Amino acid sequence: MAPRNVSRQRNILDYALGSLWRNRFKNTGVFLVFSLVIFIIASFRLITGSLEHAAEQLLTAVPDITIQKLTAGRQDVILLKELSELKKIFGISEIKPRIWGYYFDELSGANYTVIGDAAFDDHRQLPGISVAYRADDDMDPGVSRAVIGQSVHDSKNLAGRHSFSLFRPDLSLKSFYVTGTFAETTALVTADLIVTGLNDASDLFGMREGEMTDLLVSVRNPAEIETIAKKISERITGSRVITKRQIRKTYRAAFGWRSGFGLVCLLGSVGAFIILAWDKASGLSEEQKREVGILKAVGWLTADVMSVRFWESVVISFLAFSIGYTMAWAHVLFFDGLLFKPILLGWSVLTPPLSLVPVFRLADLMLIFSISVLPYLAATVIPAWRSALVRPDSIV
Amino acid sequence: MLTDAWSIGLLSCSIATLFLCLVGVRTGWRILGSWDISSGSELQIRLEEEVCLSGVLVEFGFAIQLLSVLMLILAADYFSNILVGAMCATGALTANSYGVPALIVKLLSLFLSAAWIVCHKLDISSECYPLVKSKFLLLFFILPLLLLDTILLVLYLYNLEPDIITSCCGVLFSAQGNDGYNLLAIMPSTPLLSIYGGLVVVLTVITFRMSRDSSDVSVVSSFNVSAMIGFWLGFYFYSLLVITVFTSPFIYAMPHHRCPFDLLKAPYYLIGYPLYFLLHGTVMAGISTSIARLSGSSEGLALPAARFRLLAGRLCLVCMVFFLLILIYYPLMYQIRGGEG
Amino acid sequence: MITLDSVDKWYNRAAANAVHALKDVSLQVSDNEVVCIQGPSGSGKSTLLSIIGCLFVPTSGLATINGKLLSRLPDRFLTLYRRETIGFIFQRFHLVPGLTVMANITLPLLPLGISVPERQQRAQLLMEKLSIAHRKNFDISNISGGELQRTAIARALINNPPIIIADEPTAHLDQQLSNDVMTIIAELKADGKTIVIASHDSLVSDHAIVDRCLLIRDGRLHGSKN
Repeated sequence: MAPRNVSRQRNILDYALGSLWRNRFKNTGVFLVFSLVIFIIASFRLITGSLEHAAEQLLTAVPDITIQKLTAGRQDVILLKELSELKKIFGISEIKPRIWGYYFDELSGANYTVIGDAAFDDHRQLPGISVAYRADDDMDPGVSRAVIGQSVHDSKNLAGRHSFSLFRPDLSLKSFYVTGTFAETTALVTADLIVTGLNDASDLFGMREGEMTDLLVSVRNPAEIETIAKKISERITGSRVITKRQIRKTYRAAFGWRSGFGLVCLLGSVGAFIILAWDKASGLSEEQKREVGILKAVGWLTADVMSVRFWESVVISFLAFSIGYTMAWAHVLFFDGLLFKPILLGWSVLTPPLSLVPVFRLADLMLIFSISVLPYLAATVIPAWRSALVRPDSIV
Repeated sequence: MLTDAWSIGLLSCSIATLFLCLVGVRTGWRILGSWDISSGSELQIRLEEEVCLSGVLVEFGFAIQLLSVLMLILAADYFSNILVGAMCATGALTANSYGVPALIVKLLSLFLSAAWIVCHKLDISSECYPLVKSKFLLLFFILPLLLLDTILLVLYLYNLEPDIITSCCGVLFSAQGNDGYNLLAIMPSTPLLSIYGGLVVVLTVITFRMSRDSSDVSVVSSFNVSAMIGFWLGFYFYSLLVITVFTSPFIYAMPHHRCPFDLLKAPYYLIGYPLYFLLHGTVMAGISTSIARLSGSSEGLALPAARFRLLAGRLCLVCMVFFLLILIYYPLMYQIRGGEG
Repeated sequence: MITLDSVDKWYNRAAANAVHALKDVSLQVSDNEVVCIQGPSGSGKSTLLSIIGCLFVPTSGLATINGKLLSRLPDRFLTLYRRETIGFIFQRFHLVPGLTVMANITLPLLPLGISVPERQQRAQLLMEKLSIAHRKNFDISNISGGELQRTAIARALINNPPIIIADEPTAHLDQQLSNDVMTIIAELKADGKTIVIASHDSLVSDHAIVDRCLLIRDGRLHGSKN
C-alpha cells in the first residue's frame, strides 16, 4: 500500500511538472514575485546572521565583567581605591582600570569613542584584536600614541599624516601619534574607536588622578562569572556590573530587533504576494477546466487533481526559494548587503566599513520557509480544490 | 519580542493553521446540519466534495503544527541567548508562565489532528462515510485548542523581556521560578522507572491484542478502548518525564542538567530527533490502533479498519522497541562502563 | 449486466432554468451485448450515457452494474468504480493538448501508481493493435482525425474495462474511418466487452454487431429496433 502511494505521488508529480512546463508563461509572474519576496527576507536574515557572527568573533576580547559607577542614574567616575574592595573577592584573576569616553569632533560632526587602556601604556600594543601597526615608530616614548579605527582615519584626513590633535576641556590641544589602525574585519566595533594610554585619555578628558570610568575584571572560572558579578554589585554600592554574556545578549537583541522590524515592514509585501497567489490560483482558463474535466472523466479523483496543483505549488515554491536564497547569498557576499545594510547598521556619520560574510544557518531556512512558502501553500489549497471540482460530465 | 524574526515565523505558522481549521470547521457546521448520504441533491454532492477538502486542510495543518513545534523549541533555544537567566531552551520557555503551556497545547493539538486524520482516512474508505459527523465534531474541539495555542504564543512572545543592558543596572539577579537550566526537579529513579516499565508492558500487550481482535466492540469495550487513548497520552507525557529526569542527564553527562530540548543539538549527536520521532510515532500509532478498533463496527468499515489496525499496531510496536532502545542506551552504557566513556 | 430502473435526471432543479433531462428511463443491457441509443440532439443521449458510464448519479431511480448499486454512490467511489469498470470514448475525443499520444493513452494509469515501464508496455500493446504505434511520441495536435479517434479508443481500453461507452464514435470521421471504428468495436465485442453506443449515424445503428437499438426522445426511451 505504501509503495503504491509513493508511486502514485511520483506519477502525479511527473504530470505536474509537465503541466507547469505547458503553462510556464502563466506561472512566471508568480514565480518572479515569489523569488523577490524570498530574496528580501533571506537578505535580512543573512545580514543579521553575518553581523551576529562578526560580533561573536569580536566579543571574545570583551572582559568577563565590566564595572561602572552610577550617580543619579548617570555614569560617574570610579576611584582607583575601590580596587581594594574587589581584590578580596575570591575567583578574580585580574582587575584592570579603563577610561571610556566620547569625543565630539566639531569639524567632522563625528563622535569618537576614546578608550584609555593601561596595557597600551605598557606595551604599546593591544592583544586579542587585529591591528595594522606602523613598522617605523621612532617617536619619543613620551609622545602620546593612539591606535585608531578606519573611519577616524578617514574623517581626520590622515592620508599622508601620522598624527592628529583633539581639544581638551580647557580648549588646549592634545596631539596623538598614530601607531596603528584597526583591521577592517573589526570595523563593527572599532570604526569610530581611538585607543590610547590610560594617562593620555585621562589628560584628554581633564580627569583627576585615580579616576576611571570602568574596571575590567577577569575571572578564573567562566562558570563563576555570574556569581562573582553578584558579589561585586553587593560590595560596590551604586555600581553597574555588566557581564560578557550580557553584552553578547544585547548585541543579539539589537540585531534581532532590527531584523524583526525589517521583516514586519516586509509583511505587507508578503501579504500582497499571498493575495496575488490566491488570485492566480483561482483563475482557471477554459482550457484548464477542460483538462481537469478530462482527468476526472478518465478516472482521476478530486484528491488526485488537487495533488497535481499541490505539487505545482511545491515546485514553484522550491525553485523560488532556491533562487531567492541564492540571490540573497550573492547580494550579501558580493555586494555587502547593499540594499538593506543601512537599516541594520544604522545611519551614523561613522558607519563601519564592514565586509559581510553570509553564514548558513538551518534555523534561517526554517524561518524564511515559514514566512513565505507556508503561507503561499496555505493560500493555494482552497483555489486548488475549487479547480479540482470541475465535473467529469462537463466535457460530455 | 513580537517583532523578532522567530516570533513572526511562529505566528505565521499559527495563523496559517488556524485559517485552515476555520475553513474545515465551516464545512463541519454545514455537514452537521445538512448531511444526508441517501440524498442525491446538489447540496449533498457539494458537502461530499468539501469532505475531501477538509481532509487536505487538516493534513496540511498537521504538517504545519509539526514544524511549528520544532520551531518553538528552536526559537526558545535562540531566545535563551537574549533572556535573563536563561541557559537553554528550558530557561526561555519558563521565562514567563505562558511558554510551557503553549508547547503543551501545541502538542495536544498535534495529537488530536493526527486522530482526526486517522478518522478521516477510515471514513472515506466506506461508501457511506459513517464517521463523518463524529470527525467533524472532533474538529470542533481542535479549533479552540488552536485558538488557545495562538493566544498563548502571543502572550508568551509579548511577555519575553530581553536581557539588554539598561541605564540603571547591569546584571539582574532577580529570582526566577527555576534555575533556567532544569525543567524538573530530581526524582527518585526506581519508582519512576518501575511505573514506566509497567505502563510499557500493559500498553504493548493491549495494543498487540487490539490490533488482531476482530470481534464487535461492545459498550464496555468501547469505553476501554477510549480509555486506551487517554493512556497513550499519559504514556507520552510520562515518557517526556523519563527522558527529562532520567535519560537526559546521562546524555549530557551532567547530573544537574535535566533538559528535554538540548538533546536536539549537534553536540549531543542530534539524538533528540530520532528519540522524539519514535516517541511520537509510537503514541500516534497506538492511538490510531484504538481509533480503528472503535470504528470497526461502523457500516462498511470492518475490513478497512481491520487492515488499518494491523498496520498501526505493528508500526506502534516497532517504534516502541526502537524508542526504548535509545531511551535506555545511554544509562545502560554508563552502568556498563562504570562512568563516562 | 447494466440495469436502470425508473431513472430521472434533473439539472438545476431548484432554479428557474431547471432541465428535466431524463424521465423515468428503464433499461437493461446484458453482458457482451452491443446496444445503440439513437435520438436527436437534446434528447438526453449524453445524459443517459453519463449515468451508464458512472460520470454522475441520477436524481432518482436505481442504477446498478453487475448488482452493484451506483445511483447513490458518493463521487469518490463512483470514480473508483468507473476507473476499473468503464472505458469512455468521447464524442470530441477529449485528449489533453500538449501531451503525446503515449501520454494521453496512459493518463488513466497515473493515479493508480502504475510504474512507467508497465504503463508503456500496456500502451504499446494497444497502440500496435490499433495501428498507431508509429505515432506514440507525436503531439496529438500533429496527428490525423482517425488517429485521434484511435488514441481515444486506446485510452478507454488501457485499464481493460469490461464495459465500453462510446458517444458518437463516428462523428467527425469519413466513411472509411467510420468503418475502421466499427471494426474495432466488433473486435471489442469479440473480446467479451459490453458496449453501449450513442449515435445518430445509420452506419452504426444498422451495423451487424449491434444487438439492439433504443430510441430516445425528449428524455424518454421509446421502444427499440433490433
